Amino acid sequence: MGRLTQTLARIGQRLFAPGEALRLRYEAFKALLAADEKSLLLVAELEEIFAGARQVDPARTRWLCGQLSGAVGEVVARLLAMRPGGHAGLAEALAKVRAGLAQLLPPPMSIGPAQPEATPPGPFVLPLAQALGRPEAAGGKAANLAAAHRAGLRVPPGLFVSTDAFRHLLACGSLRPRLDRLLRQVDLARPERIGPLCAGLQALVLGTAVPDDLAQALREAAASPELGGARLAVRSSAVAEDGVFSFAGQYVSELNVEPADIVDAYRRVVAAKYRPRAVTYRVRCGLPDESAPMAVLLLPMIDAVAAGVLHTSDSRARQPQNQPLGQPEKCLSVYALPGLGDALVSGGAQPRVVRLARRLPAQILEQSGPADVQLGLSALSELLLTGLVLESVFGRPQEVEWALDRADRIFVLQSRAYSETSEQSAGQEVVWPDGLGGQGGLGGPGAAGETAGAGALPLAQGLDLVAPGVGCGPVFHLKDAADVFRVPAGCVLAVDSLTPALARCADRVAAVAARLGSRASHFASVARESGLPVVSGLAQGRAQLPEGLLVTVDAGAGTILAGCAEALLDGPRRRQTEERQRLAERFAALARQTCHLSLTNPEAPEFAPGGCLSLHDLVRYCHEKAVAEMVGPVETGGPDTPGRGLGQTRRLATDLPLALYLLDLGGGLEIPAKTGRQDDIRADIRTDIRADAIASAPMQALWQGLACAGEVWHDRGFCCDWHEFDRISAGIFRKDSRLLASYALVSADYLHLLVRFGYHFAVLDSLCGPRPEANYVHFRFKGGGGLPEQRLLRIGFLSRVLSGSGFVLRVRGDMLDARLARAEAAEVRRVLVLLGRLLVRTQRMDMGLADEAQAEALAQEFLAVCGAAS
Amino acid sequence: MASIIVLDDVADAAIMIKRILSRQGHAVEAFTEEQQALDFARENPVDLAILDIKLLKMTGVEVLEELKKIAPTVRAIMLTGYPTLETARQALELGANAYCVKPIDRSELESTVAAVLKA
Repeated sequence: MGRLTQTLARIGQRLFAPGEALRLRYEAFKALLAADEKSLLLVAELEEIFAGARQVDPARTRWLCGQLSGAVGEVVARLLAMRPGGHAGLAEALAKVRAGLAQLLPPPMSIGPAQPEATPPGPFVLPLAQALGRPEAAGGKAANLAAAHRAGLRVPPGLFVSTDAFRHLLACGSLRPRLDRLLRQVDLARPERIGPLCAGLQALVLGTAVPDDLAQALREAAASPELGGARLAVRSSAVAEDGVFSFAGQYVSELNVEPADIVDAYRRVVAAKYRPRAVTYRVRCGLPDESAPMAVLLLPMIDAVAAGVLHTSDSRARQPQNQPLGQPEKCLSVYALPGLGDALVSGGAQPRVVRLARRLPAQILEQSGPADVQLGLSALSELLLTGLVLESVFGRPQEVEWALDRADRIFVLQSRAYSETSEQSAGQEVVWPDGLGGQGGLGGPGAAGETAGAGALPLAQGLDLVAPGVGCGPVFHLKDAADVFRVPAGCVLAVDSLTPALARCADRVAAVAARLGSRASHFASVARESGLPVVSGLAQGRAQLPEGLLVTVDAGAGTILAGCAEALLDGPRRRQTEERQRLAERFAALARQTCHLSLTNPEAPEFAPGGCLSLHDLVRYCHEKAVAEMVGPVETGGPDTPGRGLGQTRRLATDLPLALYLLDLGGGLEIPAKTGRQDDIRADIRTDIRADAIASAPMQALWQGLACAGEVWHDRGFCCDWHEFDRISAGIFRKDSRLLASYALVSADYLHLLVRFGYHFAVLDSLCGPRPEANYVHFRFKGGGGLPEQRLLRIGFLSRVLSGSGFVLRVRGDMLDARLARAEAAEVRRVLVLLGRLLVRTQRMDMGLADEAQAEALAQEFLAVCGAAS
Repeated sequence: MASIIVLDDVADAAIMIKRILSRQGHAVEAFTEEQQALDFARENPVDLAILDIKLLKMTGVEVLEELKKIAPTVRAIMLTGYPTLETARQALELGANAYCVKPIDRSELESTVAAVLKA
């Protein structure tokens, strides 16, 4: 559109030299078109985000909303400049929408440079006990540990560095605006850029000096009675961590930290907030960076003989000999490794697994895995009770990190919500604690025993369930975790071990199959949360699954089948639908203020400033009215009547059911000598022109396409008293028509066309002159009256035809942008003819499209007939 | 099949357990009053007592202590919504056969009862 502006400027000077007022109005129109273009691009990107087609950092969403608000402000200002004193209520409508937006994006969302802190920040380091019930200050991990301590469980005597300290660090380094500039470029659809962006984010934190007061507090903490100058575990405890979202393994812990190194260790742990996997995970959860500030736990190292994880409520197939029903039995699972156990949560080691009945005294139901760690019955009883107490404290199943020291004492290191499956045990009878009033209901045997895909061949079976679900896709071998961004969407990932780095592609893959790794790994938590099926125990590793082969992973059954087991896939589809609903809910309010378009019918009474409920409505209203201002044929009186146009528009007389007005910018029309009465200006202006009066090269070519004998127009019966219609509607729209008026600005070598057919619109902008390097065609298509899927199918049809005709395409939501540049005039004319035919062909195509295959077939057919013929 | 008493100050919870276990063929009596449950145990043979820990006048642990005086061989499952290390230890020292945490679902209750009766 930059070219449009230039071209209009060139022609505009010639055209408007006599009338300064007209020239100003024309300048305003040009600027309005530019701001309109910008607004619609922003709307399109926001729509993609709201629909879940793109996952970006909330900093980007917020930034886009701010940009959109600014661009729409420009559109409104320009329309008001075109008609000072007109469009009563428009400025108020804009202010109202902006106020609504400001409520949704409160001040921290629109910060500039760092605010000087009004009050001195609170204490930076506090005893762990003070984390109780204060996850906003202490982070989820510390708050949960404090709750465990209060319930009488053994927790290492520790301290926490508050989120105030973190904010103080960011404020002193003026980091927030600099972080936001990088964060708003984070787009999960471009995984290759996340690494460099996160490196930049971490460098910002690592490169900032820890303020003296904070550094002093940290050094004092290291020497405090709790820590006693011993080596430390320095662990992340972010707000939102271990709450609704686990952030399992997304941040870092540093173990065996020397007290003298505490300040640097603190900064490193805090900087890890911007590790790629942590940022990816947070973006996937839809959390803004500010709502996950970092607190940090300082704990003395436990001299552990064994450590690991326990899950308080796992399912285990019942032993048939002594159990009456086929229902799975609940058990508590203990995963243990010798020493500190950090190899367990990083997914790299096979642990000892002990399953216990969920009652005291401890009763071992089964055990497996290497025997390098032995847990006595007293340790197991202690672990069992610890798990049950934590489950009771937090009111739901927990995943607990624990350590056993040389004095046979169990320490709780972390506890977070855990669910083996997201499915509720429907129809189960449950006895709740007093007063908590659970759901009762008569229980049947439940929906156990789903049928497996018939006839599919198992490639592997007896695999360990890590995260339940069913996924289907071609196998991809990931040999090095650093290549995680190369993982193609929709594949079944075959890996050696379940490293937490896999979280970066959790939203892109259909399933994961590993040689090593257990339900206790960090990645397992992330996978369960996002509903990604994961299995482990592939004996021969990746070699067992040939790369590229289509397979179905049924994690619950522990099998991998060759091919696609359709019957098994209903669950995942349901999951996708649920994900879409979740996004729709999350963004509903924001979408209402920004992208939602309620002004769809310019002829309706609510098509007025007061009817503008969103920024998109305002853009739509202003564009419509600006066009009316420009191309309205006559001045008709009242202050609010559109139509104080340039007095230069001509209606194209045609048999086609198309109301097209042409505004000649110079050399675009060759109008024969006037025939009417010279003194009747109105009649003169209203004179129709015939198609043979079109002298504009691009318009001629387009018209050739529009009028092509091979194309069938809908709504043949188009007739109307234009004189009467103009009197009523000021010449812009047919009162009751589904085909609304379209207009074109033309000059000898230039065409700007806005076509409206019912609910979709197309904008075509083209220069077609003797200099190929200046020539271009820009075609934009958006909207439709069909269902969203149908509109996308039509966009698919257009994409195939246009890319087959040499256009470069970009599709965002249901908006298509096609560009062709630097082409010979003959080539430009050829594609304009094609676009003309395409406009007719696609009028109501969306209503009739059923699937991709149909869209593809229609595109091939169109290209075969029109590609050559035109 | 066994003779079982259930004692819980919340009548709905007691009745729910009674319904689940009766369906398995056990003879089950549900109580909300400690004294009524103890009186029943004096008059009738009881194989198993399922006791909530938080009761109206006594604690479940105290009831267990009384019950063991009346019927030393009675087996017991303690239920609580608010487990602590302390009550768990006390209950097990007094001879409770199992200590379970609410919410407890049907299959968990059934398997615990089956395991305790078999032991």
